[in-house]
Amino acid sequence: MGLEAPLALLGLLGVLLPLILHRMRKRELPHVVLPTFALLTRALARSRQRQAFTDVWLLVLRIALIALAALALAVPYLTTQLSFGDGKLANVVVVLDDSLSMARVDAGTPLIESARARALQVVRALPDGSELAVVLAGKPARVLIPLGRDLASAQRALSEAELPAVRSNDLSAALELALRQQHRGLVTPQRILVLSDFAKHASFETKALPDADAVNYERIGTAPTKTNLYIAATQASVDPTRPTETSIAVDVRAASSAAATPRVDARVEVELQGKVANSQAIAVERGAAQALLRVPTPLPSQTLEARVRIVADDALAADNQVSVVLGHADALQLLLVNGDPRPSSRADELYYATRALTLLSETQLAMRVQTVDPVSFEHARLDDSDVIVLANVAAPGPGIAEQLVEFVEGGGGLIIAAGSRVDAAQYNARLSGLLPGHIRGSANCNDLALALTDHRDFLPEGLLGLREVRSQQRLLVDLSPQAETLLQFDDTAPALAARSSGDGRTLLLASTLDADYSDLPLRPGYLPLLAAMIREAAGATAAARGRIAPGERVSLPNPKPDHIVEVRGPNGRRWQYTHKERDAPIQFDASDALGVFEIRTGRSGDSEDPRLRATFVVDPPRDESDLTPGPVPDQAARTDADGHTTPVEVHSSLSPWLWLFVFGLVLCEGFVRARKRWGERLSH
Amino acid sequence: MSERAHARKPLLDQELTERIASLRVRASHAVEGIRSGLHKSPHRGASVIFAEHRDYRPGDDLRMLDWRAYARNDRYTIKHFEQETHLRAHLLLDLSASMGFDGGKPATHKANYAATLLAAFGWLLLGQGDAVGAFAFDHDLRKALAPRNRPDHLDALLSVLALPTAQRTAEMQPAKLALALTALGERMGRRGLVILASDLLDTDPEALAPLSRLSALGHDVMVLHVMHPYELEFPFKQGLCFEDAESPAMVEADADVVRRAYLAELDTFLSHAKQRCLAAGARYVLARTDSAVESIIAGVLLPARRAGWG
Repeated sequence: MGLEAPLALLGLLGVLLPLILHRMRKRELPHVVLPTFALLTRALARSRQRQAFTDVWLLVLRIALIALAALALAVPYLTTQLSFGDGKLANVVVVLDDSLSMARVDAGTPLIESARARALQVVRALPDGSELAVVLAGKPARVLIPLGRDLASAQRALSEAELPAVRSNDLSAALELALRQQHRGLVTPQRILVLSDFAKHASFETKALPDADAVNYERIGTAPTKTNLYIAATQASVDPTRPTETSIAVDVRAASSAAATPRVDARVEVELQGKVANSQAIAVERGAAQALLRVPTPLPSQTLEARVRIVADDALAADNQVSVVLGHADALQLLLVNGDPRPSSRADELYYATRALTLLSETQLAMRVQTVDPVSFEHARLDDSDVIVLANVAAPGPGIAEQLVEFVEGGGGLIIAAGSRVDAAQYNARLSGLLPGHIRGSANCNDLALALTDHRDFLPEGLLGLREVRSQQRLLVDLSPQAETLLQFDDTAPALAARSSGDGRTLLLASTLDADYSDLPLRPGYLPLLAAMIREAAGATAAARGRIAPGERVSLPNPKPDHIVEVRGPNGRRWQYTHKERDAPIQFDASDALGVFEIRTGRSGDSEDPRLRATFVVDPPRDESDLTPGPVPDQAARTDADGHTTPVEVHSSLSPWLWLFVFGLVLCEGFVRARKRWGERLSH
Repeated sequence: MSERAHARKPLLDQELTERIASLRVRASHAVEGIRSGLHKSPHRGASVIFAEHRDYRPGDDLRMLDWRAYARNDRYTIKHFEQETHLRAHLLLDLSASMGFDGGKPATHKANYAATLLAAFGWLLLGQGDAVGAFAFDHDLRKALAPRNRPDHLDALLSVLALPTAQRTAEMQPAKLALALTALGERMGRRGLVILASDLLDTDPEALAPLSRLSALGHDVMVLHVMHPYELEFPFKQGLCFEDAESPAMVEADADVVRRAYLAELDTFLSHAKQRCLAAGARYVLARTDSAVESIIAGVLLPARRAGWG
């Protein structure tokens, strides 16, 4: 509290005025002789008490009036410390870093909660009418609270928001998003407040930002004092010598801000079905250590989640655990039909493909591969498969062809690869509803190379590893209007065409999976191409497999009518989706939890547990484990060296209230005086 | 002026002479006003009116014996007359300190006004052959003049009623009505008319008790309650320091605030005074010093004439 004009307090001496006047009035009263003095004294005895009471009231009121008026002239004010802003209307966007490193516990509180508390302070410091938005900087950056003026709702939403802090960091995108939100507002000045631990990994571009004063960067928490251990990689594989055991190789790393990472003793353990199945003590020296833990291999029908964790006193606990899926009950069911089987020979139609798929299954896409010959295929159960590959198969028989049509339209994937045995006429006759085009037959070509089409997302890496492919022979296809070309030869003829039928998809490769028509199997791009083809054919089912980053979007298959798709998160939370008339698959983006998510399908209202179709694992982002503090960029004017905003003192004047009070006292004084006068008038 | 008056003249100082002259003018003016408004007395010169005979009782004045009646029937008979002589009137002037108040307006001076009233009454009474005496008192008897009915008695009467000097006014004492009236009662001879002009301001609750005794002695008592308009209306404003006229006491008060209570007290006082007078068999007349003297006299005489005196 203080005074804007302290000299005005001299006016307080004015309180003596009524006292002096009162005394003077008493002293200088004119004298009057009254013979009926005795009557007056008797009258006075009756009225003196009331008179004295009124006079005292008037005196007190007048003293209070003068004192308050003097105080009001001195303009007293209350000093309030605003944690943000200057107490005036503003457009504020708070960028809240909810990346994994913000899960670190500092002084007993997770950094993300400290950041939330700070953001709430900012909201409370804003006057009504201000605009506020909150943007989360975990990757991908997103808007938690759109720009608006309802600060109470914003405060409530911010208090109740789930901020799991598991994602990687994308401050640059968050700032761009914040700017976009800010530009929607009408209020000025515009300010952005970035709340982050500003660890070294959280570096970002500030070039696109307006002047530095408009952006405040506040570091949340202090620098970690402990070394942080994290699991850099895990690899689970069945021991070929002891098939009943699965080895899990764990690569443990240490991150420290110290020049030399100190040795840290820790223990790595594996938990299966809630129990610690194995553990191993490790000593992390020079920033790295490895552990190999053996656990029982699950039955083929089982899918088990193995939780591998580091038990140590380190800086960040959230990145000490990863999940590994053991068993392949959820793996993609791939049925390969070998149209030209030549066992143990490079001339075997699937010699290259099976080896490539083994690698894919271990690294990118869990698959269970079954290979059959064309004869066996005629009696195979297609319902157990997700994708069927016909490699140089002459043509499916009429019976299996009908099943194939039903399989594809029901959501299955079919890949037809060219070969010398392909009977184009039979294909055209039996699978015309599935084929991307009319197959005219095989033809020679002179070292044609592959070229990309407009479907760039089919091969995100482009022709990397495929540029050197040269084809000597190919299938000639007249594309149907419903078909699309995913790859083409450099003479624009389709090399890989696709067509959707019902809920499924058919891919036609104009080359062979072996080296008969081209040198494709010998090129490095063969493996990614094969994976892309299987993903394309499997559709959303395949997209929902593998390891993903927190917050990453996952495509789920659109369930058939009367069916449901259920996702079960690692914390037991469930999401259910029913069939909807839509082309696009379901986009699941609630992957803000570390661990295994299960995708199950089943009939709606079925009492049985939906069948497990796929799993995906959300891993802690590795880059978040390095907690070394980085610099706070472009310190704003009101920010101290540690990146904490200096509180702003705001004066709230009390003068208006005092003047109001003075006005009230004037009315009171007038009332008492009028009452006295009225009494006097009555006495006349 | 008569020879006797001339003989007394050296005894009167110049100031007294002027005051007497002033009082004469004022009384004359009042009397002329009354005479012009009243009928002349039909009883002028009629001094002996037979009333009755009664048997002699020991102690009766032997001068009252009717010798003729004794000669006729050999019985001692006392002859009563309605009025043996002219009316004997006693004018009582209160000269206490409270009567020295004029409120800043000399024309409304209470004692002056009272003296004028009594002088006018005296003039009238002398003019119709009545004997008039005068007494001035405060806490004790100050001046006294025995009743006479000679025409040159007027000057002596006026000299008693005329106010003392300003200096002596300042020396006026608080009234002690009871003492003064008792003393006067002892001095008055046979019954007559007693006219008291006073503000009746006496702290003694029995101040008016002697009035009853005067009435009991056969005196016809009339009280002229002389009050100043300021006393009756309390026209003061705001804060004032009020001083007592008869003591050094003073009090500060807001006149506006105390007015209502004062007027209530005054009303009680006036009612009480009137009640006490009437209870004592006296006539009571409230005389405001700003009202015309003749209107007061007329107000007194008209009912009095109907009652048989004056």
